[in-house]
Amino acid sequence: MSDAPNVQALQSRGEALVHEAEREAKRLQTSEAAHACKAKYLGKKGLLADVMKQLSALPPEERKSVGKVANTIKEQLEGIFDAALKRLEQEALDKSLETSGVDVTRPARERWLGTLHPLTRTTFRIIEVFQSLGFVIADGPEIEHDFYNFEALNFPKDHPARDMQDTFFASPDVLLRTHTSPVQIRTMLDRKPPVRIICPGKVYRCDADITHSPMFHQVEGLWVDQRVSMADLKGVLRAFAERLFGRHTKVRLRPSYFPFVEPGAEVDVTCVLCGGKGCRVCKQTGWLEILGAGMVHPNVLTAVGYNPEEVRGFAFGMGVERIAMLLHGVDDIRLFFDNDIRFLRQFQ
Amino acid sequence: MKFSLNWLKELSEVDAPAEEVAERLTFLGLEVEGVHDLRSPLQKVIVVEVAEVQKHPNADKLKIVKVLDGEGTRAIVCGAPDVRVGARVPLAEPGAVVGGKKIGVSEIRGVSSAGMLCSERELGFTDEAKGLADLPGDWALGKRLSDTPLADTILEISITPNRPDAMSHLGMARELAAAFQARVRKPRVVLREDGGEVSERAAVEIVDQTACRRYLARVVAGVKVEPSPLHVRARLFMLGTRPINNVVDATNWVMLELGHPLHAFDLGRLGSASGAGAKQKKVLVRRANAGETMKTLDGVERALSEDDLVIADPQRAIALAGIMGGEESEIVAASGDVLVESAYFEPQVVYRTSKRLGLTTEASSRFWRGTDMDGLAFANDRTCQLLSEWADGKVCRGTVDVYPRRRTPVEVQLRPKRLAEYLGVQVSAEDIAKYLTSLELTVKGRTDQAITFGIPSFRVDLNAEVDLVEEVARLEGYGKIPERLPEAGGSYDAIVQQDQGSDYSRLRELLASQGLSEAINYSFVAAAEEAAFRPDGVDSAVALQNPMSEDQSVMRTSLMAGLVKNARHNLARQVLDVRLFEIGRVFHPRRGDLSALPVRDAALPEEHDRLAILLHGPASPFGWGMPKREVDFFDVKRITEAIFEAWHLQVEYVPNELPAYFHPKAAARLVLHRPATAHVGARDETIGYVGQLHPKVLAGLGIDASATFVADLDVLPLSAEAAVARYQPLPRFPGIRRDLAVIARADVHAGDIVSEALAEAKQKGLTLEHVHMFDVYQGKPIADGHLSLALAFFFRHPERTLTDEEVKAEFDTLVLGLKQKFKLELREA
Repeated sequence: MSDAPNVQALQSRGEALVHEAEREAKRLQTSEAAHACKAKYLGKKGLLADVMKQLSALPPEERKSVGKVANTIKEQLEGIFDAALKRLEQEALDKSLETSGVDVTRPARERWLGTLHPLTRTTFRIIEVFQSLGFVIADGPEIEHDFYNFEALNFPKDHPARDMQDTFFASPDVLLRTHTSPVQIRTMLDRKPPVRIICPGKVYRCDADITHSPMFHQVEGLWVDQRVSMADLKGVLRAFAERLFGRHTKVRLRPSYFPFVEPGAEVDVTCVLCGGKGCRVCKQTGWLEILGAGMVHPNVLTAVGYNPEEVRGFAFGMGVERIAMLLHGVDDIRLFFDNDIRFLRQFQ
Repeated sequence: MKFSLNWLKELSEVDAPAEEVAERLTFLGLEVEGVHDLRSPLQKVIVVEVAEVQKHPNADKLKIVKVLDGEGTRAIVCGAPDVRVGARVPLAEPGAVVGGKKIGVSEIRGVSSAGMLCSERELGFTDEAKGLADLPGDWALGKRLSDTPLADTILEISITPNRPDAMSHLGMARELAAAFQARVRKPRVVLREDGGEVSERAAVEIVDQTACRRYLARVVAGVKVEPSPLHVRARLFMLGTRPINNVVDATNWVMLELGHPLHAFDLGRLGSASGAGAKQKKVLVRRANAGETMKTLDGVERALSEDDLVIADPQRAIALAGIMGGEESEIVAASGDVLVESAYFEPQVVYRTSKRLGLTTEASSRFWRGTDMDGLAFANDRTCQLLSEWADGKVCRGTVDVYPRRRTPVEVQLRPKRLAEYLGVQVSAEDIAKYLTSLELTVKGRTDQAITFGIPSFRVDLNAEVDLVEEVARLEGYGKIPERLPEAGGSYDAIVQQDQGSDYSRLRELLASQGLSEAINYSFVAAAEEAAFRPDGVDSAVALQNPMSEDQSVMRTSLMAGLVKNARHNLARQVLDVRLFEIGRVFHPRRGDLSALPVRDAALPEEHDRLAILLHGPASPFGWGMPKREVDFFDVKRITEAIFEAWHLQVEYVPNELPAYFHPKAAARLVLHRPATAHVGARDETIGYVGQLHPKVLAGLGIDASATFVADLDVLPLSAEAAVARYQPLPRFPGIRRDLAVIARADVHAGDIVSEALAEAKQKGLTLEHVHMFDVYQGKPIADGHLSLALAFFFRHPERTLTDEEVKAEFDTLVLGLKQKFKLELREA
């Protein structure tokens, strides 16, 4: 490479320019100043252009190397100012972020939170389990005829079994249903077997204290088919209990009497609180009574026109309030019907 | 019912601790609800004999009693009025707990007393508080009372209505014996019939043989009426029966022992067929006469109906059959000869009278469940035996036993195969026979398929095969039945069935997402509440015949009263933002032509599922950055709109024909436009109302009507899932918006402007897509009676981009039409 004076001069002047620009760029405070400064060095009438002008008469053989050097200097200067601009952009962003923050400890913008009634939620939980076992929902009137509520369910007139359910009457034959079992009768009268239904709904009995309400909710189930046995009943109830109360919940049947089933049973599950070890809620027994159940009484099947020699069935029923009280630890049934919003909002 | 463990053990060979007895019985279906140990408190009470009684030196009413405890003497201060030397009495030693008080060695007015001499009441034997308990003279001194028959454990057992046979100690002992495969010890009855011939003393005639199937009478002569022995009184008392005298106590004793209710009449006070003073008395069993009255043992004069069955002498009714005796023939101190009645009355007859009179007794609750028709001779004999033992009575020879149609013995077949199908578990024929014979059933016959059992007369609940299936299951134990899931799916028909009725789960979730909490109210309300919110077109409500209170006496015809009550409840507790909804039934008496309905359904009211919403208080939650205003019509409308949108329902808000409980100018009727279907043409239907409650229905309730907005609507259109949405292609070309600001008279309906614009555009074939109102202003500088509205018009052509000129032309056309029609004044946009 030739050691031409022009090249050397350019080299040294250029280095001085770069050095100067570096110093100046460091002191730049705004992007406007940075652009102005960049123009001062690199503009058409800038300092680099000045240097280039002074090298006016270049012999053709030098042009190539001078151009090369000039380009390098130009690139260096551009790099300096691009970096400065980038730095300034970052500083500006940092600054704006610094000043535009929020107080994250301030409360959220409020929004009303609604809730389903705990009895509705509990009913849905129960229904879901049985729907997954193939039961469908059935419905019927809350004000019923004696026939559907009692007679067809094997509670004859003037029979003491009727005393088991203190009844509200609207007239001698019309009453507030005492259980959702009349839905079973209506459904069976309406269709041929097989029947696999779940009947949720309000029921009424003249009774009021901290565990009894004159209106409460039941879910009853009925399965009538050709080959249904009490073992199936136990299996279904066990599956239900494990799904609702958790794995390893056990189910225990004790003989009892409901006129529309035989054999009849009270059904206990292992205590949801202590898991069966014994606590205050289960009165140290480890068990909680939550269901009534049994095989559908032949008189009931006959009353709806089914042949008890051909089909059998099982039925079960539970009080929703009782289960909701156990699940949520509610100790007074009346809370469910006061509709105190502070109470309802606890069941989001 | 209460049971004495001592007695159960006397009547059976079972000797298990109370806890085990309770467990076994519970798992036989005889639920033991309580076990009360009355024995432990008697461990520190001993038998002593009164040796000497001295006056207390410092107190007139107290005595110092020297007693012998078998080892030495003790000095006890005692306040009982007459303490007899030689009497055996109970001494509560220091450390004993008597009547909740702990006994110690105490100084009573300067004299030391090492314990307390006790009355029957203090030891819980009876409620006799006078004097000291008089213990049997042959009880050893120093013996602990916990080792005597007075120390008992009481079991509280819940007996289901199908088991009258278990309402006695013998019946319960039978169950217990079966559970333990042990034997029953039935009381042995041997009578010395030395009181003369019964036929000379009493005659019986059953006038109504359908109501009384059997009447058996015996006579015991010369009874001495006095208090029963202590152990009798104590046992009765601990079982909840008040001791009266030895005659009444004997009948109660036998009822508790054998289960059959008995009645003792004072024979001397009965009339006879052949005139007063005749020796042979006459007893009739007949229905009461119209207008007949009698005074029952409880002193109440009862007006009888012709449906009631009475026991009568030729002159008058002397007892309400199976329920309660009459005052005029009751056993009193002077009674000498006693007629003992044991009879079988039809359960329904006793039930009806008992319920009609509101008179339930130990006797009636046994008769109406069904008594043992063939067991009443034994029960009568047993009573006579006790009368001779406890009251020195002389039993007359023979019985008067009127039993016109003997009961046909019941036999029931049981097929072991059917039993296995029912229970899902096999029980062998041998085990079946073993179980059932342990309950005193008898094997009458056997084939390959079935065993025939004879049913004992006390088991009135066993009549059909399934009854025996249950008996076998009880004794085998329900725990032996396996848990099995029905074979996969069952039948195809069962799987494809659809839900009948809705749980409205989607609607409930939607409302909760709108910030509403769900309420559940009683279906019955006070009559005035019902009337205040009764819907138009309903002219009465279903009233209860036996409400629990006036506040719950009428079935609701609307849901509104409940939510208003809830609002009051919450406001009274400083919960000021009330946002509630309820989905539930209302009940409207059926009207119109009922002849098309099944007769039973015609008797029932109509039931409708409704939704009610109530908003009260601030429009936004308490917090920063929220508009501060009270709820208004448009807050509740937002919620109803959300519902209708979710179900794709086209509902119009019509400001007329409102129920009286709505504000006449701040509420709307909801009219659902139902599109035509294959079966029905398009039609409009009112499905509810939304708006402000009328101030008069909230008057006096402390609720500001101007901040209370409600909706009340039929949920039937919302019970089904919304119609499946059909996809619409997305627009391919941009739309253009033009805004319009106008001043309108306040009585112009914004909704009308919008629908007019759309109708006009449709008619003229314009590209208007929709119109959206986005501002409304009333006040300066707008003139009174006017308001300013701002509307955005959206135009779009489906196939190309609209030009500004096209849109301007369409917009100007529309504006001109609206301006003329609604007398609008344009404002600068």
